[in-house]
Amino acid sequence: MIPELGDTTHWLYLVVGGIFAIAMVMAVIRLLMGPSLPDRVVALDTLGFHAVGVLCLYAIVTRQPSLLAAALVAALILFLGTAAFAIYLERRARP
Amino acid sequence: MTEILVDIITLVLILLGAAFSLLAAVGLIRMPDVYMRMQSATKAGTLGLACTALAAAVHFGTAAVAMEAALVIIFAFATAPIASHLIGRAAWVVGVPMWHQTGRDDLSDLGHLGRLEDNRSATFDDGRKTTGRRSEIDFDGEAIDPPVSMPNPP
Repeated sequence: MIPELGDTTHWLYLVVGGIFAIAMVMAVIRLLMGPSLPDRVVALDTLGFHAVGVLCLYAIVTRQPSLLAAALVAALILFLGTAAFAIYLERRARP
Repeated sequence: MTEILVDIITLVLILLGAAFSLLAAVGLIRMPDVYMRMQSATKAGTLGLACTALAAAVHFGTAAVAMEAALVIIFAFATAPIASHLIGRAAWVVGVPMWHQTGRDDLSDLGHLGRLEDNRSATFDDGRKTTGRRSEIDFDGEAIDPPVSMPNPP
């Protein structure tokens, strides 16, 4: 039996947050050093996915289920932004 | 007993989600060109987000939260491949070079014949041509023979 496991300040939640932080830092590295513009767009997409995951984690840790609605909106806007970037790139290449 | 089971399932799912997100970021750093980076980022990132949202649904355990988590998962699984496809197509149209060991270019007219050659070109619908798509820089940073550039038709 692990009695303190239900506590959302358990150290495993800290580990999960650290893993997400490392992943986001790596995505930011690719965003900064990506040789081409599609590289940066892919990195931004991944960064947004990680942000949505962090929102879900934050909803669990702070016990506020309404943060999941924010995650839903963030995922939707993320797709719109990526699609807009792709259409912009393609239209700029062949007008 | 049930609470402890719920907590264990939540923690396992959220650790899985974080691990998949980390794998997506590692692939984003380590893969040699845009197209491969997109593969790892989209697939592992989507799975990581799905695991994390599922963990939230298991943790709260109410129908409303489960519905929101299901919507997050459905949106992620529906939109991530579309976004990846759009970005990949845009990268190909812009002319981002492939890794020099990539064997085939299915979007080019001659790509199915085998290995990419230096001066292999593709033709768009409007008649414009693209030049060879091999990367000038090796994955290890060493310069390889540059691609032959073809003049654009007027």
